[in-house]
Amino acid sequence: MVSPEPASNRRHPELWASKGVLQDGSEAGNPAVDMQEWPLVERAQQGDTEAFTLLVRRYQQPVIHFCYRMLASAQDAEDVAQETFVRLYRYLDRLQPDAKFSTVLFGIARNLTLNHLRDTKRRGRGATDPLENHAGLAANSRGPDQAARLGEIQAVVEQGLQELSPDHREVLVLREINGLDYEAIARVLECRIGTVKSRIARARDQLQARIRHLGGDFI
Amino acid sequence: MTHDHASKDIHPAGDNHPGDDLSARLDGQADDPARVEAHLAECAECAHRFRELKTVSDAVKGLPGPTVSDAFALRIAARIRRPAPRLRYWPAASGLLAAAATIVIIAAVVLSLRQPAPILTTTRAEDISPAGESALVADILLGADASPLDYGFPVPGDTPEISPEELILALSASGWFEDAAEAWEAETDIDELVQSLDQTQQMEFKRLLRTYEEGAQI
Repeated sequence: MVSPEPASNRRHPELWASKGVLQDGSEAGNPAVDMQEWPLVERAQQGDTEAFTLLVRRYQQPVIHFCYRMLASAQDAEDVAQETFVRLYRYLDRLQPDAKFSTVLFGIARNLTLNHLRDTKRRGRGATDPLENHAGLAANSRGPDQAARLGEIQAVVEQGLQELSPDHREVLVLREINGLDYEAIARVLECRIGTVKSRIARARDQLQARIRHLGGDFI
Repeated sequence: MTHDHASKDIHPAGDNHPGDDLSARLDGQADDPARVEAHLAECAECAHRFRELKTVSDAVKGLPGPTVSDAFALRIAARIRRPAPRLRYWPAASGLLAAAATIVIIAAVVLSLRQPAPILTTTRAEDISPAGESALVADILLGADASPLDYGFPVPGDTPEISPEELILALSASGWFEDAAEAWEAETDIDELVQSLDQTQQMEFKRLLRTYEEGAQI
């Protein structure tokens, strides 16, 4: 779980202007959230497409954000996220009440993003629009100087994140952006919790090194 | 003590340092959080490293996400409401059957629309012409109250009515696919073939193809 420090301890409080993981601000990996989804899942399993659409609306932001951070292209992210939900719909019959909904969902998204990255690499095509909108997104309700500074920081962080290996990038995104705990990440990646723990530590090391290499002076 | 950890793989480890638990402490997932806290209070190197890791973590958390349009959920809803073409039997061979069914439908529709369907009275399968079979297919596709027995067509079992799956099974057993495919391939240009139909026939042809694509018939 994300446990933010008091604002007074934050070196860059502006970076905590973090979006809610789900539309209602709760976290995708929270077991309580998963329990709430089951009535909707059961209705969807019985063919209620409205119930499934509610699930889509609830999880669309975190899934698209995950895909976006993995693929660095808003269009590709939306395409892959759409396919994720369609595949989830086809998988619904096999979902059991003891399964974590978000784990299944992010597992599908993760597999599809990795497939997409492999296909893109094979075709020799890189990310289409990396760092495309950080400045605009960062500028909301801040002064121009502060917004510009924040935009610079975010550009460097985004670039550093994109330079990580997919293995390191996915654990960081699932942890920092999607808010999944180590157990949930281990289920998504189908590995041990200890592997998640060490991989996140290595990923943070690597990202810090990349940010410094890119001239990020805030670390 | 050094504060320049960034270029190295830096999680002070060993008997006295928490190693990966330093990073895990950020996430509330350290194996022994009390030990990490106690260590941070005593070790300036690890305390500094912890602050660096937290800055990196906060920086990623603060990255904005893309805007999601209202149309996103609507597009998914449209996709899941559209039934995929599906064969209930022979799931392992469903791709092959779907391809065969496509040939059957297109060839049957075209053949039946290009020439009047003969009224067959024979009960011998070997006497049934491809055109007669295509008439049966077309009748079924058009929703007519067709029975294969009316055409003297052999089907598995003695059921008076035929399902699409049974029809495909029967057609396959009689080698009809090969005949239909041959007839179809003889028409080298599909556009030319379709254009040879009159307007009503073309409309019916397109309607049937649309019906097939929507998975309503087979």
